Amino acid sequence: MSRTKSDNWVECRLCPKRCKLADMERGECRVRVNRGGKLRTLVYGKPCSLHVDPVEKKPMFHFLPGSPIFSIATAGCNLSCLFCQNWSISQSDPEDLENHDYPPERVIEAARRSGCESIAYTYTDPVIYFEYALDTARLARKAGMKNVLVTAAYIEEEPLRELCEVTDGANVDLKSFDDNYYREICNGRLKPVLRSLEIMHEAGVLVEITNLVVPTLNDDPGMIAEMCVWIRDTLGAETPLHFSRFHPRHRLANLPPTSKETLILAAETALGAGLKHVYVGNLRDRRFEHTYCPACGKAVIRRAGFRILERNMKNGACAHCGRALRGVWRKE
Amino acid sequence: MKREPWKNDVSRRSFLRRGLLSIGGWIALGNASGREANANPVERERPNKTSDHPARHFVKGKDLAG
Repeated sequence: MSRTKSDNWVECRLCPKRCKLADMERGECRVRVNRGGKLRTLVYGKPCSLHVDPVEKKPMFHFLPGSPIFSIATAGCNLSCLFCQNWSISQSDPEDLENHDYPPERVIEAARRSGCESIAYTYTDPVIYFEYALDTARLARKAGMKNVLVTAAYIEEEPLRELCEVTDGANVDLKSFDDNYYREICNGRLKPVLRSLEIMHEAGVLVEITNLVVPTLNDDPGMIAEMCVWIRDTLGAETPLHFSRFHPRHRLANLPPTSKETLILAAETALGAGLKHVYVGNLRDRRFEHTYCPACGKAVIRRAGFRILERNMKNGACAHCGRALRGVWRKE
Repeated sequence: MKREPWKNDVSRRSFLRRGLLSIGGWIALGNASGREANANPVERERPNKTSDHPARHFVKGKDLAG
């Protein structure tokens, strides 16, 4: 092959795909290109999405509840999940979208003007805009803001550790506990994601996990139980776990939405495995919307969708019994 | 009887147009197929819409096998 004759190959070591790129070739993420033997990013300072969201939308339920979070994303993704809700930006080349000119300084300024005290790197996956997310997060830290990654955590250890230094919270999309599912549905592998979760936890990042339950593909109660046990034993029983309802999208439009019964069964399985904070997303069910104190069992935060109805916490502890809860809480 | 389009002016113009178009097409296709193997052709880039910023975490691949 003529490609092997090139002297200008590079191997991208940002994510476990380790794309080997000939001159002028892009990685699977669509946003990293080899130009003359040097890797360049096409999305630095060029977000395609900027928005102020409630932090509960990420979802982060144990991170400054009720606060707005300035959310950014660029085009591209290193995975290509068949069910992607944001496929129009994650599966697009950056030049095919309307990108904004927002260098890190401008993101901080816009976040501050919007009254946000934290920034989320979200919608697509911050892994693929690593340099932009890292520089923005460092500036945010200097400005007294917090950083949240919403990610599939499909990233190599070295860049992840760098990101963790400036990350306060992360919602990691653990898509399944089955490697075949990762291969066939997401174009990735399971093992690197589990390793990333361990690294984030060890680094002191508040980790919340989301598991999108897709009918017939990853809704096996046995596998869900296995996943919950792993989370309990590796990250701790107080790791918040969100089961999310699947809606037919992108290339899985043939499947029905996840039934309420399946989601409730998944949540009960997680509680049975010993997890203390289990939530169900994209579905209104009061049992799995609120945060309960693991010691006294009383509700410490009551929610209705993304809205906070009631708080019974003081300085990160249950107002009823004084038990501290895992999370990033506002000091009162 | 074999058609001789160049025998009158109209047909000659049409013949030339078709000829030029096919030569143009051949050049375009020839260029495309002769390009470096590349799933995402950079010709579509519009520099005002993307960055050209150094990326990190990569190694030079002279010693890499295909």
